[in-house]
Amino acid sequence: MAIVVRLDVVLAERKLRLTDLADRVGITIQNLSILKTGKAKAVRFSTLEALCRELDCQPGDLLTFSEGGSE
Amino acid sequence: MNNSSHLQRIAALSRGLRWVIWFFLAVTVITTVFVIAIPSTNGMIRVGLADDEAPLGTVGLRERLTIVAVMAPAIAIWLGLFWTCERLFALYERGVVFERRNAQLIRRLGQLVIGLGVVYLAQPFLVSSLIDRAHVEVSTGTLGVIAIGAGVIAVGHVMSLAAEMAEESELTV
Repeated sequence: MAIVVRLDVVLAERKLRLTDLADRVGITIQNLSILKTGKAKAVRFSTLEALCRELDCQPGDLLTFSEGGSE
Repeated sequence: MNNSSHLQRIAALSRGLRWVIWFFLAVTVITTVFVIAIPSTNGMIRVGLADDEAPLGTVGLRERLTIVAVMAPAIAIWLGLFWTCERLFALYERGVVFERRNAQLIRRLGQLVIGLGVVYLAQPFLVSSLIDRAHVEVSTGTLGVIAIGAGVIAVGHVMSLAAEMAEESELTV
């Protein structure tokens, strides 16, 4: 996919584990795992908002556009 | 009634239908072998596709081979239909009821039904051109078969789109 999810990078920078983040944002670990592994087809604004709030980052830190990417 | 009991009922029904498919297939094979293996001296054989029957002894090798060659595509398609239904019910039995694989198999069924209709449409012309005593008779039901096939393909296509939407919804976080 052309949109690359950088959740793993942001988590590593903040030394956080996926389970910790799941507890803090109230999203199941399965859904976060789908997002982290790039399998997600869509992200709700509410999810993005919760992630940005907990990780203290901007949506652009979590999602980037890659020109050469394809599905 | 919850999803689990629904799936159990679908699995049980599918298992039964798979048995029915294999039963019909076995009966078809046994009957065909029986008819070929026990030639009747005063028996009749269909040389055309309508009522063109002739005594078995008067049908030559060329005519027999022609009949087999003309019938073979339809038999192959019927086997394909049996096999596709078997695979579809096997998926249902495993609880896979609404995925792209189901839609693909339903579309395949539609394509095979159309193929069968086309073969049935072409058969009378082929037989009458190759066997002198057979006459052309096209059934209007054949066109209905083709229309049903197109309908099944459309259903498969819609199901494919719906499965895609469901998948997208599942992968929305």
